[in-house]
Amino acid sequence: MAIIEVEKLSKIYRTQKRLPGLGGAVMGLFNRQYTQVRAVDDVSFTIEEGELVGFLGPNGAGKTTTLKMLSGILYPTIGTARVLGFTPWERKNEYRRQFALVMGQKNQLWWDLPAQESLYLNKEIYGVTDDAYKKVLDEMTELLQVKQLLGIMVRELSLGERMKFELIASLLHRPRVLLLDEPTIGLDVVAQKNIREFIKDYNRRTKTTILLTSHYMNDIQALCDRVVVINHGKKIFDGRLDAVVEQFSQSKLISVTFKNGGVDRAQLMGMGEILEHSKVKSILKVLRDNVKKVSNELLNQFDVDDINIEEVPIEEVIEKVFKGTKPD
Amino acid sequence: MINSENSPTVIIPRAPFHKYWVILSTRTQEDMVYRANYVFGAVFRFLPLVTTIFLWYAVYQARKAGGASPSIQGMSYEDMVAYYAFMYIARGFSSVPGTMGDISKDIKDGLLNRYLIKPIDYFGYQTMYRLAHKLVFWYVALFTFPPIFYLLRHYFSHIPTVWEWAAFVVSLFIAFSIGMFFCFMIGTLAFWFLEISTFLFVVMMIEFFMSGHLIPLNLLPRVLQPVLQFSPFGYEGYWPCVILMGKVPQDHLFQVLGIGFLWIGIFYVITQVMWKMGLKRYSAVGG
Repeated sequence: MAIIEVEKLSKIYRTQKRLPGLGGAVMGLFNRQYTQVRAVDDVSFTIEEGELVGFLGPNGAGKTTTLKMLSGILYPTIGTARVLGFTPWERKNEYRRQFALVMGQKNQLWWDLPAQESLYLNKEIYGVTDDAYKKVLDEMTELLQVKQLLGIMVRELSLGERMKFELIASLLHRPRVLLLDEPTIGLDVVAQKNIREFIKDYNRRTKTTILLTSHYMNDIQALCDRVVVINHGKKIFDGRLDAVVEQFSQSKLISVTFKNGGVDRAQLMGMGEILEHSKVKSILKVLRDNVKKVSNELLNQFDVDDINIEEVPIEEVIEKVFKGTKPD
Repeated sequence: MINSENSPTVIIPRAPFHKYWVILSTRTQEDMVYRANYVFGAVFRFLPLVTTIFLWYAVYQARKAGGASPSIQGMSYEDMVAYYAFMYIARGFSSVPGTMGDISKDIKDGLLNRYLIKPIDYFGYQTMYRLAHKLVFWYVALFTFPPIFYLLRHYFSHIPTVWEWAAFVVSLFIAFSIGMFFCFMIGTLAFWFLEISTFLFVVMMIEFFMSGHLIPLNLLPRVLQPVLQFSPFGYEGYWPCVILMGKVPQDHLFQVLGIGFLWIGIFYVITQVMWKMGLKRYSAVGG
């Protein structure tokens, strides 16, 4: 049985349409107009135990809203979801003890308490035994290198340090499902790498099911074999990450290095779209079906030193998918 | 339950209410750090009492000079001073400053999320949080209130009976409960009205007046008294004071306290309904 089952989930907000300017504000007092925003629109997917799935989409796509419904914070407008056999928005304690949500942009620890006290409160709320707490705390603070910061007030920690403690707090009770909403947002490169490595290792060791939202491709590429792409509230792709490129991009890139004086731009016309060109190196964008033919032409017609065939960068593909344009 | 080293497991808490004790304990310890704040508050909050004593002295002297009765609605000048002094005790239980604002802020800013995803009751958390403030307040007040009350000892003419002491203690529990529930009710209005700061101010002023803090409720027009005295706000100040002053006949004590518990029940139901309806509207803003 799948750990997470989402069926035709939708969240529709009714928001006030405000007219600009002072006149608009005054009119709004007497005659309010509303519009409907479909934050999540008919999304369905299932996730098996132990999977680490990326939930990818631009800002406002509906990723966080979906996570909030799966964590029981929001009620859906239409549709159903089952996580660990529970309906999340019923907020049963048995469910809440088995999952955790970490939001990169929101602080869930108590701002005015030292980190250790905040973690201890979490321990008691979830009913973690003293031995288990000590074991998990020692292990996590060692791994994330924050042991020396336990006595510092949460509000005095840096963003990266706070994020590490947020992760520790969420894992004290060893949840079976971990929902991560942009956990590396705002962090420096080193902190991002540390967090990613920690998450990957944790998933591998404990088989915790992890659903991670991000708009950083580095997070998705480093952590997720499977990705669900969402845009304007709708699911537009669900499958292996490398299959995103195959499905949404009809081209490949051929980068070729020339010997003996190089090649003029005009000589390459008609072989494909020239993305870059210098006398000794060119990058051509070629339709998949033509890759073999163009490669052979290059090798036969010119003095080639090196030739590489690569996929179009996934960032470019995803960017075009988000913009709603077909990449090729 | 024993946790396997590498596999996630479900943990059943040993004592479901133990976490609330820890919240109370943690918050109390943290508030103890702000001792100076509580000392200043406990001492200087009596300054208005000085003004009140002088004001009612002037009122009663004017009545005496005019040949009027030395008591107003059964309250002598000494009773009046005793009333306002006891009001500090009553309001020390019923007043939970910041609660309405914090609850509405949690809702407005999406900070409620952290409580919704954990196996904890939000109202239970807020109650323990405020109780922690109260514990520290009264710990400090143990040093500051006795000297003040010793100075005012000549105004306390009535020696409460055992029943009156017991009823007074129960009335303080009712005062705290009604204070908390009322704050919770008003705070949860933020589910429907995102900006309620002005409304909060108006509500607090009304509560201040109707609790009898400004003026004893039995001094107000007779036609209003049943409404005001038996409104829930009367239990936040007026009733604890008059019980300790011996102004409530013993055979009426149970009735008075019974109505107080009834209000707790009514507020509990209203709070539950508002909370459930409000959560359905909650949009958890903020990304």
